Amino acid sequence: MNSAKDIESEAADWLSRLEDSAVSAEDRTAFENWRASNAKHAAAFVRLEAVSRRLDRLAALRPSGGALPDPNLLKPKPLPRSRVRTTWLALAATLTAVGVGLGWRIISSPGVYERHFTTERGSFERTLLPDGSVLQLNTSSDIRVRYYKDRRLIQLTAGEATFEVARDPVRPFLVQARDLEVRAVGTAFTVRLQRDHTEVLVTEGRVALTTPVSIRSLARDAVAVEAGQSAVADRTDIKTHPVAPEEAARELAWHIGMLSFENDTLADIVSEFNRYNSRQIKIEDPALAARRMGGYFRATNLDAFVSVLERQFSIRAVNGSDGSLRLEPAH
Amino acid sequence: MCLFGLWSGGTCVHTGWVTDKTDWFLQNVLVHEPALRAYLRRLTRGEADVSDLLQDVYSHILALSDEARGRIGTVRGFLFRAARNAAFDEARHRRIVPLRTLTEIEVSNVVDDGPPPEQVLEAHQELERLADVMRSLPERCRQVLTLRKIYGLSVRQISEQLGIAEHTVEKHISVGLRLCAQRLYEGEEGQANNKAVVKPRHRTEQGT
Repeated sequence: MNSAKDIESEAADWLSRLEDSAVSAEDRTAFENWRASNAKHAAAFVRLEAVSRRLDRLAALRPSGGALPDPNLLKPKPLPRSRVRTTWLALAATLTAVGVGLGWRIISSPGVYERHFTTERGSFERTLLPDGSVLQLNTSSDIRVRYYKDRRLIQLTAGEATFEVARDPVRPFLVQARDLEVRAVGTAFTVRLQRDHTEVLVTEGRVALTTPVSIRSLARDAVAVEAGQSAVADRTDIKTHPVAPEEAARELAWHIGMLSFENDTLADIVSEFNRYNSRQIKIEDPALAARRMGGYFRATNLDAFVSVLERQFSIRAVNGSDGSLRLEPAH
Repeated sequence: MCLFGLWSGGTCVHTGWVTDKTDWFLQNVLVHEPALRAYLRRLTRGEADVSDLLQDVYSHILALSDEARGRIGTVRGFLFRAARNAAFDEARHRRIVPLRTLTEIEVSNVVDDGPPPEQVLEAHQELERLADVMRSLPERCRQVLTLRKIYGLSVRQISEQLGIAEHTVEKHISVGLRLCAQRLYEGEEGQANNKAVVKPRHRTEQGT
């Protein structure tokens, strides 16, 4: 009988072979036979597949822009070999820091660091801004970042973004989303543009929301939103409400490419999936659309979601002529 | 609350908690591996192949039907019971009795103070941890997995960029995955990881 190590090694070989898009039908059959021949084979395979899935989260570290893939992106820092070398390295590090500092100052003195980020449907972007703030972009989003001497200005024109803002009292961090302006000094929050309103979820610190003068007469002056709160702003008003940590975690599952639901209507769940996938799902039956359910899915794994609906909820998915998928009760 | 699936607590079954099997395994089963390994090592006094016993345990939980999974109570409890049974079976098979006789109370203690499932909000720390594991890999493995996981390149593209054969790329992926699994879930690294998770930064009322 094979040892656990042998089985694991075979499982790893199969997993890496199946990563290749050009796997032959013979290979697939051979794999299925291998997996079915012993329950331990299947277990070892799922375990390594799960590890591989966890490593997929590393995609968030991909630098933005069209730079060539760098195989040494995560090269370990060399360990200093002697005292002299340590001192030298420390000195070099100081020089680099000064250089970077100066460089930033020179660039920023006329007032501008400017970048434009976009994401396509089903893709996510995570990027480090020059002041150390972190920007995460959700699917189908568009954002412009401009840094001036006295302010950091962000314009969100589509989609959803999370900001982990590096503290800088001299340069407030301003996010403009349609008619709404979110002002922060050092905090973490998410702004999502919806068709008829804008949502701001604060997970750390606090932000101040304002709307343009034209609308401000209708609303209050500036609305403070604190960690654990969410604000919904439409053309006439800003309303805040508390958000439990687990609810916030669900709303931000997209940070790792996942969607999380609890007691949501199927209509809402489907419209979330439609944000991430070019293949759109439709529901015509109102009773079906109103059914409530929960779950945890990879945002781009439409097949897994649909197969679960079919297996566990007596729902049928029918291919539409326009390439969409229509859900209906199976009866 | 019940963030991670139908089978994590059993209390959310009525809302139809469901998820992709591999993701479910990652979120609900694998998180317990460091603790399970420590438990099995203690139980068998280091005389059995813990990885082999774990493959048994995992095959048991994966073989359950969806419906049966809803009835097993907590995943962690099921895993520890299955681990204990696997260890006893193995000892009986070898006709030796090296097992420490842990009472059920001890077993349930082990089960209760476990780490909560990973938290979505800790994505930051998660990325740092994964990056550290990548940095610890042999150079070629690290390069291949970087191109695969961070840049999403195909095996062929990696083979072209690094100038190595496609089957060599596959071998590096294979070895790299096993090393990552080892560093994330086994031995000293896994223990350290586990300890870090046992102190919940957010909340402890998981799966209720």
